[in-house]
Amino acid sequence: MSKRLPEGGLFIDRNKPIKFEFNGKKLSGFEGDTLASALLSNDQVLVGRSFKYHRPRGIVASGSEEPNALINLGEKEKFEPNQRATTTELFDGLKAASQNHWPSLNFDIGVVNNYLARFLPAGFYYKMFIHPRPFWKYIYEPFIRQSAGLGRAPSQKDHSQYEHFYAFYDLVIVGGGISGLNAALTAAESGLKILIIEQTPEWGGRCLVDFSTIGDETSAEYVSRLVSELKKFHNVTMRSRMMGAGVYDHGYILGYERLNDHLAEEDGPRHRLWRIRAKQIITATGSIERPISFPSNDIPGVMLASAVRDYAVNFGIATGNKIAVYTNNDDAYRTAITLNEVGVEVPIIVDARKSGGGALAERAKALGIRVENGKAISKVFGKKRVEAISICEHKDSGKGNEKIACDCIAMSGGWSPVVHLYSHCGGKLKWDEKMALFKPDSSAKPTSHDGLPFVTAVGSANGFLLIQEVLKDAREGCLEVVEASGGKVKKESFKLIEQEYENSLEAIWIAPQDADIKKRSKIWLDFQNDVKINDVELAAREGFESVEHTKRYTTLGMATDQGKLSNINGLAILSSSLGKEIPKVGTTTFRPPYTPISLGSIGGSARDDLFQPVRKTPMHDWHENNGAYMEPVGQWRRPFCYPQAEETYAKAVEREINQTRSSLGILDASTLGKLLVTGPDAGKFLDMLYTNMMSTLKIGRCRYGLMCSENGFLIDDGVVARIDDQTWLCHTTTGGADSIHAHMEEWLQTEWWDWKVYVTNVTEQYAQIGVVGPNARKLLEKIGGVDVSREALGFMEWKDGNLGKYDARIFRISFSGELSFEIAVPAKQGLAFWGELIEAGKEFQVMPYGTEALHVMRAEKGFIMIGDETDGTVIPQDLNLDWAISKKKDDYLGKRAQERSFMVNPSRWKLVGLETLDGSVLPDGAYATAEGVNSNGQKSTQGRITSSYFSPTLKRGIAMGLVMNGPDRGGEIIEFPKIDGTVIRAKITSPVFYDPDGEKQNV
Amino acid sequence: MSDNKNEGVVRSYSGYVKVSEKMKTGMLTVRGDFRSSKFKTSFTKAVGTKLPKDRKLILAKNNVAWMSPDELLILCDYADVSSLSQNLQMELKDQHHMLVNVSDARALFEISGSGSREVIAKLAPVNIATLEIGEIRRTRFSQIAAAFWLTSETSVSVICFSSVADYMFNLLKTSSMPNSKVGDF
Repeated sequence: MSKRLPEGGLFIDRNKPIKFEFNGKKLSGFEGDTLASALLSNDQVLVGRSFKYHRPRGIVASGSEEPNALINLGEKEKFEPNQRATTTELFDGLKAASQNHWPSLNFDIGVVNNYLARFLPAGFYYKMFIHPRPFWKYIYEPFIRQSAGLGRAPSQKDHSQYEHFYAFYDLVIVGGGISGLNAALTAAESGLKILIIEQTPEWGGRCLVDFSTIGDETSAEYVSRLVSELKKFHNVTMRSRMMGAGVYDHGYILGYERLNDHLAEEDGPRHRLWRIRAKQIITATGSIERPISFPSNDIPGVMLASAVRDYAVNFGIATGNKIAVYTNNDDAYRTAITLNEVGVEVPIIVDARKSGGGALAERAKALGIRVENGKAISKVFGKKRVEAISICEHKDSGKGNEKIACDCIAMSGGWSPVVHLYSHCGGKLKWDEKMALFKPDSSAKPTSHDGLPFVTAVGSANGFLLIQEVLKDAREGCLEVVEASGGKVKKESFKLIEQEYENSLEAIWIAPQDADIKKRSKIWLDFQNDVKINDVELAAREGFESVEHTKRYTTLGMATDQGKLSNINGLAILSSSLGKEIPKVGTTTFRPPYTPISLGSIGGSARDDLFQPVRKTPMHDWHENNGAYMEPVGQWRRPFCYPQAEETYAKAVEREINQTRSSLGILDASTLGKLLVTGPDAGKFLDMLYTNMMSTLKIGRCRYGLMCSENGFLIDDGVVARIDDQTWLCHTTTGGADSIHAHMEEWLQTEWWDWKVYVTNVTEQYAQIGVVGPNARKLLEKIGGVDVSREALGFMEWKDGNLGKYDARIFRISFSGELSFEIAVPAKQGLAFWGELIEAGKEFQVMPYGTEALHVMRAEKGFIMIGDETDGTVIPQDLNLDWAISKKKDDYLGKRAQERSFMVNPSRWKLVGLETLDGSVLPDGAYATAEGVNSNGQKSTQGRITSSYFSPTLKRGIAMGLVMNGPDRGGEIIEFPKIDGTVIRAKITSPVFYDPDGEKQNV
Repeated sequence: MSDNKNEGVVRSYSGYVKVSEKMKTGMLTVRGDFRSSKFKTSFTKAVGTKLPKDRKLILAKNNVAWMSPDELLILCDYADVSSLSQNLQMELKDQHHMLVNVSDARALFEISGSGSREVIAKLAPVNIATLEIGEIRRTRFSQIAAAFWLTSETSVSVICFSSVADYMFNLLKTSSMPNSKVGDF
C-alpha cells in the first residue's frame, strides 16, 4: 500500500493537517501536499479510468506531465473538469471526484470495452462508422457523443475573476530549477530587465530531490542562496505558480499565473494571463522522464521512478511497501537509494542494460539492494493494483523467469528534454543517438523579425542531463542571450561541480525485446487514450508513414496531456515498424499551450458588463428607465420599442407609429454617424465619394447622398449638410460611422494625399433627436427660440439657433414621411433636451418611438435601408435611385464599375413594393419562385423580399423586394413559398405605400 | 483638466488606486500642417505653447496633446473652448486647417495612486514601465480606443469616447479591485 512515512517531506507541514474529499470520502493530508500526494498518503492509488477501454488508472507522475490523475475539481460555480491531481495544491475543504466511469470508480460498466479491445484496434472508428452512410448521423454520432469526453461540463456559471497583464522584458526565463536560477543570476548583473517564472510553488526544480549536496552546500542551502541573491536585484522579477504557456512570433510569450487555485477562499483574480513581449527568451524547462514499454505497464502502481522519488522526498510518502525499480539508465538508482534511506523495501532493481550502471549502481549494491542486469519485466500481476512482477532476460523472454512480489514499480526509460516552448515558434530539434533524446538544435533556434534567434534552451531542456553540464550550459547559454538582448556580463571562470560517474543509457523501446503480439497488445504507450504498441504497428502496416497521420489515426498523444510521456516511445515504435531511423520519422508538432489553461484566463476581465463594450447615447439610461426593449445596433444598444404595461412589442410598435403619424413622436437618432469634412478641396472630395453632386449644395441646405464602393455597390447613405464655404457635415448610417470615416481617411491618405481636406468624426459630440409628426413644429414653437416656420426653415434646410436654453442645430429632414425635424444639441445637453421635449410634448401626447417604428415608417414611404435593401451586391440603379446619381460628373467612386456589363444588364432584380393579396406579412428574405429549375436542380427564382412589415397605417402587410424586371411588371402577381409549404401571393406595386406626393413632410 | 483640483467628478471608485471620471472638460481638435513654420507661429500665438513633438504632450495651463502627425488635442476649461477656437480661427484663417469642438464626445478619467501604471498595464498593450511624464499613447484599453498620459509618477489621465464611458469606468474599477495587485512595478 502507499502511505505517509513517519517523517520527512520537504514541502509538507505535518503540524497543519488539511481535510479534503475524494469521491465523497473524507480524507486528510498536510499543508504543502498536492492532491496526488494526499491521495497517495491515503492509499488511493486508483484515481480514474482510461478514455477508451475504461481501464483502471493510477497516478504515474508527480507534475504537469501526468496523464492519468485527471479529476473533477470543486462544485457548482467552482466546478472544473480534467484538473491534474499532481499540480493541484491541497487546500482545506477541497472536493474532488474521479472521471470517466459509471457507476463507480471501483466498478465501471464501461470496462466492457476492455474485453472487446481486440475488436477495437486503431482506426476502428474510422473503419466501422463509415457504412452505411446514414447511420453516422442517426445512430453512431449520438452514441459516440454520449460516451465521449473525460470530465463533465460545468453546469453553472464560473464566478471567479480573471485578468490580463501586459508586460515587457529584455529577458524572460521559463523554469525556476537550477538552470533557470543560474541563468537568471548570470544575466542579472547586466542590468537587463528580467522575468523568471516557475510553474510550481517551489524554486529549485528537481535539484532538492536528486542531489543532497551541490558543491559545498546542501542542495536546499544552494537553492535558497540563489533565490535570495536574485531577490536583491531590482531588475529581476520572480513569479512562481506561473507557467510559460506558449511562445509566439516577435518575442511574444504567454505566462499563466495561478493566483488562487491553492486557496480555500478566493482572494482577487483566480488566474492572470501575462501577455509578455521579450527581447530574448530562455527555456530552462527541464526534462520529463519516459516510461518503459513493458507488458501491463498501465496497471495502477506502475509509476515513473522520478515521481516515486519526488513523493518520498518532497511529501514523505512511500508509494508502496515493496517498490521494484525498472530502468535503462543510472538515474533510477537514485530512487532505489532514496527509498532505501527512508526505509522502504526495494526488492529488486531490474536494469535492462547488460553492462549495468555506474557509481550509483555500486552504491545501491553496497546498500544491499538486489540488482539484476540485462533483465526485463515480462508480466505484471494484479488488476487494479500491482501485486507482483515476473522478470526475464531482456533479450530472451524464455530465460531467467522469476516472480517477485511488489506493489509498486518505479520505471525509468530515460529522459526527454521539455522542448515544447522552444519548438512553438519554429525551433528545430536534433536526435541524440547516445542519450536517446530529441534536443534543441542550437544552429536552428526560433528566429524573430530580424532573422536572429530569440529562444534559447539551457540545462536539461537543452539535452544536458548531468548536473555539471547543466550548470555550465545554463551559464554559457545565458551569456550569448544577454549579449543578444543588449546586456554585458563579466565572463568569470566557472567552477565545475563534481558528480558521480554515470554509465550511459541504453535505449529500450520495447521490453522484453522479443515480446510477442500477445505481450505487445498489453504494452501501453498512451495511458490516457489507450494506445498500445500493436496499435502503432497496425497504423504503420496500413500505410500511415507520417508521424502526424499515425498520431491522428491511433490518437497517440492526442489526450489532454498531449503525449508528454508517450510521444517519444510511440514514434520510436513507429520508426522501427517503418524500418526508418528515429530522426527520419521526427516528432509531431508542439503547439501551445504547454498544459491546458483556463478559458477564463483567456477571456480575462471580458465577462458580464465587460464582455463587450456597449456604446450608450446620452439618453440611454432614460430609455432603460422607461422600459425600452433594447436591440443591438453595432455596439450601440437602441430602443426597439417602448412597451407599456402588458403590451407586446408588436402592439407597442403599432401604437408608436400611429401616435407619430397622427400627432407627435420623438426618436433618439444620436447613433447616426456625423463626419465633418472641411478644406479647400472638400467639395471635390465629396463629389468623388457620393454618387450625386455635393459641391454645388448651398450653405444652409441638405441633400440625400449615396456612397458606393469602387465596385459600384452601395455602402452607405445619408443626408449631407453644407455648413460653410469649405465645410460639409456628412450623416452616415449608425453602423457606417467608423467604417465610412476610415473609408474617407483611406482615400485621403493613400490616393488623394495632396488634396486639402480634413475629416473629423463628431458622431458623439451631439445628441440628435428626431421630432416627428404633424405637431412637430408646434412643439418646437412651444419650447421657443429660433424660427422654424415653413418659410424660415424649408424642407431639406438646416439652421443653428437656440431652442429654449439649448444650443441646437435643426435639420428639416424626414425619414418617416411626416413633418420632421432632426435636432442636434451638444451631447452634454442631450438628456435635458430630451426631457424637455417629453414634458412640453405632453399636450400632443408625445411618445418616444424605437428603431422598429422607424423602420416601418420608412418602409411605408419606400425609403431604402442600408443592410436591408442592400447586401453588398446591390447598386443604386437596382433601387431605382438613378435620380441620386449625377450625370454631370466625370467620375465618382463606383462609376466605372456601374458601367460593367453585369451592372447594366436589364434583367437585374430591381426594387418594387409588394402587397400580399391576403394582407398577411411576407417572411423577410423569402424568394419569389419562377418557372423551371436552375443548374443545381433547384426551383428557379425571380426575386426576394428585402424588407417586410405589418403597416399599422395601411393595416396590412407591406414589403419591399428585388424582382426581375420588377418596375415594368406593376400589378403582376408573384408567388412566395413559405417554409411550411404554403404559398403567399403578392402584387407588384410601387415601393411608396404612403403619401406618394410627399405632402405630409412638406407642410 | 487633470491638474485642476476644482473640477467636478462624475463618479469614482477607490480600489488599490483611485479611479475618477471627471466632469466634461474642454477639448478642441486641431488639424493642420505641423511642418509649416507659419502654422507653428500662428498656433503658439493663439494657444501660448509650442507644438508638442511626436507622441508627446505639453503640460501647461491648457494641455496640448499630439494625436497624429496632423492632429492635436487641446484640453482646457469647458467654457474656454469657443474663445480658444476663435483665437485659433483668427490666426489660422488663411491656412488649411480644421478646428472641432469635441468636448462632449470624450470622457476623461483620472487614476491616482502608486499602482496607477500597473492598472494601465492590465488593460493596454503598452510598455508603461518606460513611459515618461509628458508622453501620450493612443492605444486600446481592452476592447476600446483610448489615449492616456502620466500627469505624475502616481497619476494617469485617460480619455475615451463618451459612449463607452461606462465600459471604461467598469474596466478601471475591475482592474483596481483590492487583492488584484500584481506588484510588478
